[in-house]
Amino acid sequence: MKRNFNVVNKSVRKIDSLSLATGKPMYVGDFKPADALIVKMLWSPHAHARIVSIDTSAAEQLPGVHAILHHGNVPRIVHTTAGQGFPEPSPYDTFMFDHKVRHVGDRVAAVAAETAEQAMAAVKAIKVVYEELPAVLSIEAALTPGAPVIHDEPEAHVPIPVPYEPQRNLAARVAMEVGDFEAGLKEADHALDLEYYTDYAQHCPIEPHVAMAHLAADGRVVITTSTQVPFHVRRIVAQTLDIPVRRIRVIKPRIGGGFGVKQEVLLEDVVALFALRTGRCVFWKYTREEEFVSSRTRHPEKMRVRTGVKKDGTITAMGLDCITNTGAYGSHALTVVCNSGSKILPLYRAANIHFVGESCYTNLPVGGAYRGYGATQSSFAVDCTMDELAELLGVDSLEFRRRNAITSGETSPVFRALGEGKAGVEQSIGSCELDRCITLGARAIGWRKRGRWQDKTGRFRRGIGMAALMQGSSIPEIDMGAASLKINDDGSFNLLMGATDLGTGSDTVLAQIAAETLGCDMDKIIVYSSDTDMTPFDVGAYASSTTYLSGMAVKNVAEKVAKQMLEVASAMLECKAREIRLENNRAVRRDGKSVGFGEIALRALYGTDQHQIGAVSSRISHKSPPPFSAHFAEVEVDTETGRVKVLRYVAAVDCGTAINPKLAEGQTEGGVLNGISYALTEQYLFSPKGKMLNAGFSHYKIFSMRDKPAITTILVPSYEKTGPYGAKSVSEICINGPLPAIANAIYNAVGVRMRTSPFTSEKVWRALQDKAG
Amino acid sequence: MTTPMEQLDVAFPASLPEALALMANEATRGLPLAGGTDLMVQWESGARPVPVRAIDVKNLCELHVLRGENGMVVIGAGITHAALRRSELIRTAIPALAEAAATVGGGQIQAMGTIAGSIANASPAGDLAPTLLASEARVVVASVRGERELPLASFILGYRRIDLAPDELIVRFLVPARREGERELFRKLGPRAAQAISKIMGSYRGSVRDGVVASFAVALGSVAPTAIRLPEVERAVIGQPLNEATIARAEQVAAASVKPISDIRSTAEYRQWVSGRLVRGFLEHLAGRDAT
Ligand SMILES: Cc1cc2nc3c(=O)[nH]c(=O)nc-3n(C[C@H](O)[C@H](O)[C@H](O)COP(=O)(O)OP(=O)(O)OC[C@H]3O[C@@H](n4cnc5c(N)ncnc54)[C@H](O)[C@@H]3O)c2cc1C
Repeated sequence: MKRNFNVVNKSVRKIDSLSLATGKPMYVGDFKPADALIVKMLWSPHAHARIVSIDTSAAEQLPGVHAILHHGNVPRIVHTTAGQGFPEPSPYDTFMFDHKVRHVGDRVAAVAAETAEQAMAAVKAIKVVYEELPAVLSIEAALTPGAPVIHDEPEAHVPIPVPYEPQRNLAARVAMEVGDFEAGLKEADHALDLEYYTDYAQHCPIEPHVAMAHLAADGRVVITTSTQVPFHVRRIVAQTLDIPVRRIRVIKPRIGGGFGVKQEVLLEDVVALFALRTGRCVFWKYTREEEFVSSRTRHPEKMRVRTGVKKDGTITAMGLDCITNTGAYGSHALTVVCNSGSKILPLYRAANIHFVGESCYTNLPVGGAYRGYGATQSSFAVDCTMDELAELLGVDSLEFRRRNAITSGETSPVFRALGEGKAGVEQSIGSCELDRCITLGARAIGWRKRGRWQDKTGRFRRGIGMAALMQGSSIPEIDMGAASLKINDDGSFNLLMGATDLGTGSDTVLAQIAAETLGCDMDKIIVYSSDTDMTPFDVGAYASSTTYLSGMAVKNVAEKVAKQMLEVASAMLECKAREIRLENNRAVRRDGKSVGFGEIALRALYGTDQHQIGAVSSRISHKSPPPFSAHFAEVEVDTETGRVKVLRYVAAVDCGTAINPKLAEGQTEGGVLNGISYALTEQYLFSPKGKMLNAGFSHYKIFSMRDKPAITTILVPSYEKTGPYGAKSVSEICINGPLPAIANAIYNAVGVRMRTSPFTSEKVWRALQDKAG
Repeated sequence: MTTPMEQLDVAFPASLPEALALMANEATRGLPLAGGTDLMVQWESGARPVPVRAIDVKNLCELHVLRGENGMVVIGAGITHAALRRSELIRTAIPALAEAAATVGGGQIQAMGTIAGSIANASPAGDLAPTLLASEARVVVASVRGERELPLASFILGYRRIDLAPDELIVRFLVPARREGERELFRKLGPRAAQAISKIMGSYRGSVRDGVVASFAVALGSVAPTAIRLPEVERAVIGQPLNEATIARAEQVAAASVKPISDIRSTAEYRQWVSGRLVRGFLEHLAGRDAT
């Protein structure tokens, strides 16, 4: 187990930072040819309606218009837009275009024209007659018996054997029970039964969805797209357009942020079909409004937590009932709600556990993958409940969490019971430094001095709250990552990966792993990701898998290449391969005699016994080792207006070995700021007819650098034996902390429990009014 | 039919008389364009049609005066939020205005947006209007027909409506400087720090003599179709001892006298409550207690 690293665990500069800073063309939009056709979509103005007729004749006559797509002239193939492993755990309930619309902002017809203005003019000239249907605009309404059925089409089904009842708007259901939950509740000295609700949110990548397609000389469709899942894009576009996979090439250039929303195939089918029909290059970019309304969101979730605890602090029962609103389509419906259970319930020991997760259809914007993926919602519910339990027991909530949290060597029955659409994979916890995270975080925030709300006075009151968190690293026995590596004349290497850097820095992190393994400098690794024609398969960037899983594939491929290099070097140095070390770009014999990697390459490529030193490698995982984290927030509540200000935030995180500490800190700070924004301001506001009213940055507020409180990240090292150089994931866990930590801090400041997000000034003010009676 | 933005015809007059001459003639008249921080956004979103012509007034040097004279501060129409924020004169003579300007949008918006643009836009959520109303500012508009000077309170007619003839331009604002013994304050409550369109904000100017409120002017924004003065509140406190009873009454009167709407930013009830608390905060500030 190597722990003295040369490249890994160092904050080397992000490999694309200079090109980014100097504005080099890197993003999809940078490659748009001047003569590309532009796509505009006619979106449904109704939450729920049938399309009685659609007349495009006037629109087709308008100048510059090349083609129009709608349900009458495209293949009708049921599929899911969720870019997940195949067969997907999400229901097949989507058509490229349908004769029914299911939310305001659903697809009706697309136009490709010479200019955006011409395309818009044509969109406006399309005549559609709708038959409006009663709309379902809440979880409660969706599950009321006799509610309008949103997916009444006979094709709707899930390709794997899981519960699916579209006739009662149920998109997914999962349940598990360990021990005897009701008996566990009876055994308890104190019991709590609490309800929580988390609202819609959007990922707000600064680069919205954008995709482009053209036909190559051989007639194949080349799609350049801002995606987290190029290989899933290829498969789903092939499926949707009913063309063979071999006719499609997907290129992922530099991505301007994804956070899960680009784990979805939303634009690529349209640009590809337009390219096939017109023979032209076709470009489509979402507007910000479209990004809010017609892409994907965080599933709103209603949660009920029932727990029982003994006087000595033993948790006798832990029950979680979750219902998510998946909106008009069931993208990630099952797996997000599964993760609401599987990414938080193992955190605390309980003999009796109950979990039911459901997801329902509504005529509202569609849920999807969003950093945290269900754990963001349930961490809020469960962690705030822990805070309340501790209070009931009259013990320090920090000590209460510490006493009950899982630790190294332990397992949880939840791992086995809850997978993603099938049973989970049993695992015991390897590395776990949660305890130390709690200790260090508490010290940094000044936990001991936080006091009780009962003793605080004055208009502005401060409080400190905490949350303990876990996530996973990849989906065990489902995800796969792969890489290929070859040497060049000068001893540099091409590292080709299906893994998709979406701004996270994974290209850098994975190059560090390769350089560490090969014994070379970072600048010798030429990274290329990702291109379905060039790079080996990778499921893509999601489920906190890239560093852990794709990282293992990279380490593995580098080991294979190193072995081949050693063989050549042993002939050159006339000794056994095992007497040679690869370091500082050289193969070094025990006595110090050495040959450079360039010399090895020249010999292999041009000299004797010529061959290409290179390999391909792929990895799956049998574990999903959780990173752990303790978050602490200090807030100031203005008791007059209800305004909550986060003064300081501390995130102590155990992500195993941080391959690049600066990037790991960056992930944590970004996730925390995003989480604070979600906790305090972000929400979707709807008209009574289901139209989003604040679809833009002027009315949907996201925190920017100017709003940023002081955020301290403490990386608490551990060593995960199954990960590359001891690494686990870091990117998702950090967004789960702010909701519970801030809610608990508000309580510590003013004595009100916030159980519905976001904690707007007005909501906190109302809670204070209610408390005052 | 709106003009595509790239076809907009923009005139760049070299002087105010030249600009007014263009405005005088219907064939050459255009929409005044200053920083464009409202206009460009409204054009882009379709909230307002792109006109055929615009007249760039941003660089007219006549609109860039900023000086004090006889207890009055003269602020040219083209003065930006950034200039207001930085000006030593404004910071001492009308500190609430410097405060208000510093909360407008972010750095870029402050660098481009102007005082006349803010007032002409006449949004109830504009940050400058309450302070200008509370300090009894006057506005000077000009055309080839001559100049007209009127109180800001009568210049703002209603929601996004101002008393400006088609051939007129706003040229400057006349704002009484704070007098000896007068205090003032601007406060804003928005969902977050940067780039927040005000949820509710307000400003006051007042003075106390021998424990009695000698003068008190207060104005709020985002509680009515325009920024408004609260005369009932002012009447309720002027001549009264500045004590808790007066403050409590003022708070009540304030909450009762504003008739805000519920919109997507907050409910009427919350706005009424906050209006009351803002007024309380102002009176506590006047009393020398550091309420904010
Ligand atoms: C991101 C963003 C954030 C913002 N945040 C805030 C905020 O927090 N608070 C706030 O108050 N405002 C905010 N604004 C609004 C805006 O910045 C201000 O209203 C600004 O002061 C407008 O000035 P301008 O010079 O840019 O006006 P322009 O957009 O150029 O013009 C606005 C109006 O004024 C008219 N006009 C301009 N000059 C003259 C003149 N000399 N004579 C006659 N008419 C004239 C124009 O014809 C037009 O009708 C924000 C805007 C943006 C884009």
